[in-house]
Amino acid sequence: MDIVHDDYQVHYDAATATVVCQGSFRLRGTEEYAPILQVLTAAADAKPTTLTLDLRPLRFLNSAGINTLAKFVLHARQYAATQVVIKGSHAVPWQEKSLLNFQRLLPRLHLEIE
Amino acid sequence: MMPGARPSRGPSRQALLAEVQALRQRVAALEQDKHDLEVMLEMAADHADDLSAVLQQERDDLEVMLEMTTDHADALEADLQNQAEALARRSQFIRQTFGRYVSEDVVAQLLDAPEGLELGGVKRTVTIVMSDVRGYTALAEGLEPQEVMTLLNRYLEAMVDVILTYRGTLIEMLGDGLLVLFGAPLSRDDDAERAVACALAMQVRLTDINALHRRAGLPDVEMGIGIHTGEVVVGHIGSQQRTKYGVVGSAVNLTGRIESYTTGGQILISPTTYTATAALLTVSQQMTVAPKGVAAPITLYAVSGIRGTHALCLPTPTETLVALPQALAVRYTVLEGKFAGSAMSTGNVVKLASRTAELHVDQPVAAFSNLKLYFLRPSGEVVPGEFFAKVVEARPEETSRVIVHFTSMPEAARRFLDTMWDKEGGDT
Repeated sequence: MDIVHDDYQVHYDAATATVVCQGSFRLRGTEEYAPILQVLTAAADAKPTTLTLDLRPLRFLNSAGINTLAKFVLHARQYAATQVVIKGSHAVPWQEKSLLNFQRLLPRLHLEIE
Repeated sequence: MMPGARPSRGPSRQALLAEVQALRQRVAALEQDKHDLEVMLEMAADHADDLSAVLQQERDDLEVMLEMTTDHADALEADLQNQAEALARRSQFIRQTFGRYVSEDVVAQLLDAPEGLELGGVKRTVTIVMSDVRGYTALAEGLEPQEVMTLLNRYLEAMVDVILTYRGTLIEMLGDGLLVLFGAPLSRDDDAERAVACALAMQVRLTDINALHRRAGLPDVEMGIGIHTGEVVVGHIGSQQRTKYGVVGSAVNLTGRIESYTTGGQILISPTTYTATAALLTVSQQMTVAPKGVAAPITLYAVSGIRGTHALCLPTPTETLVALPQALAVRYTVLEGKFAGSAMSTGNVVKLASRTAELHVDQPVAAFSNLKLYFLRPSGEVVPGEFFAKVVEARPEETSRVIVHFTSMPEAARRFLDTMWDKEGGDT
């Protein structure tokens, strides 16, 4: 269940329940983000003990993109038994500022910014 | 009831009891209904509370999402602003650093693709062009300071114009000498070809400058150009206070040596430059030299023209040496670098043209030696005014005979030569 595009890639590893996003998400609106949201919600619907979203290689994310990730967090929130982990990087300016806000939607969300 | 009164007619006791029973049942049913309604009301209220809580949660979530999106957009805006400012600073830096050395379109290219530009030291194969005005020092001595500046500025302005036209990078402008790179900061496939074409164009343009000079009563300027292709390190050289785009490497030194073998109007190129451009070139002369610091002798090629896109050629020299009926005595010193050696020797000019002469010398002189000379009158008296010449031909089998090219001749020596020339009935 991978999405491969010239500018970005989304890779889901079911064995480790990890979704890796890389490149630059510059898509427009909910419609264009739907395939990415689908991968993310499907990963959550598998109800793993720990679900990891690795955003470290994601250099750019536009506003519609942050909205999509927020929808994913809200979707994952319904599975109380799943611990959601988001990995980010200090080297990517937007991640340092924006990822913290996900904990407002899901206080038990675990953030790892390195 | 009054005694003796007759009982009134009405429902029987039994009927009344049945009615009461019915009423009781009705009350019980109503109470059940009431209870049910109360339960339903409670349920509805609870459900409404639940719905309200869900809606409140959704509202809260949406508020958070809106704030997140706005925060994220702010962060992106700030980041873009920083990037735009960094880009503006970089653009200004590139313009300031390279604007003086390269043409505007190269600056534009650097700005378009800044990732292709490495500002630190970087190894590059480039073609180096070095030019120098022959006998400039002596030329300057005979002129008023204002004339020197006019001459120098007109010369440099024209040369820089040619260099930028051929997309060369002007690295150094030291007095009348120029150091130009082809291949840095931007490398192109035709760097060597453009370098040779640029040198030819510089010589051609100089002939136009000299025409202007002659009209202004200024002497002709002659320039020699050396070209070599090799690996160098280019980048910013200097301290924090003062930094410039510069070049270092033995290839630069070798180019300087090649340039030192040139006479006025000549372009000499190294074997590496020749290999890169040979198919296009017209070579008028080949010579083997052993420059200082180079292990084995190398062949230099005197270029007189280029074919192809640039299609340029040097004005054909028309000089023919004419034998003098009577030899003209000279006294000369072999110059070491730019300084005159102490030993004076004597010789005789036996053939003459306007810029070249055949000289018979007492002591052997090596090819490419630079000489400082004085004419001697038949009486043996020294004619005032030293002049300079380069040995352009010296054969090992005939060490007493050399061909020299005059690199600088002051007015006094020129006048003496003219009088001798007239006397000899020669013609140039």
